[in-house]
Amino acid sequence: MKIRLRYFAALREALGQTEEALDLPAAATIAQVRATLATRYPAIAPILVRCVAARNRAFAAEDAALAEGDEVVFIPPMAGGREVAQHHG
Amino acid sequence: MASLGEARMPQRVVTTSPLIVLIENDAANRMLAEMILSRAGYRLHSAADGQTALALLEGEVPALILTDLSMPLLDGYGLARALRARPRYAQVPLVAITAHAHAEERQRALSMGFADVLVKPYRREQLLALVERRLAGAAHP
Repeated sequence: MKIRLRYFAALREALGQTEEALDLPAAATIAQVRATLATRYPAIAPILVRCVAARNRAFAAEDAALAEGDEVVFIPPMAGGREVAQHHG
Repeated sequence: MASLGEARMPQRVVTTSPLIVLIENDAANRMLAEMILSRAGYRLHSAADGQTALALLEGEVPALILTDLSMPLLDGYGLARALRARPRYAQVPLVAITAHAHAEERQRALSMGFADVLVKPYRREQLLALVERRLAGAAHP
């Protein structure tokens, strides 16, 4: 299946792109996307671990299963802050 | 949730919860706030700058407006002046969102008619508590 990744802030700057498509096995999870990106782009791995995940503009758990056409965003910490992880609950 | 300014694809959720307008220049911060407020059950329209927000405001009068202060095209102060000049929106509570925590910025915002100031980075609980407080204040001034 194919999903759409959008990049903001530090991820966009590090990758030099605003979005890309990603091919994944059916029912892949947010955690698998995170791992795939960290492997493909080692430079962003330290940023990724601090990001919260969103699926179709809603908070998504790491074990959330994705579907064809989903939009996934990893949102970096708010500028100057460390509080974003608190937003996930 | 409707988001203008970046995606230019307005969407509307039909519920009876209070309508909040969020104006935030930073796409990541805007998405975070959108998700927090939407999950809390608020109806939300959002924009990336004050000028786009003014166009968005031509419809229903919102219960609360949360706006970044530093934005292109029309910043938060300009937006506040524009809204206060319009009787239809003059009583809508305005909350400033800023990365500048110093007292001068807060004082300037309050003197410009903002009801409150939220400093970035903020926690989900801070945002929701502020929204609840301001909505309660609007309902019982």
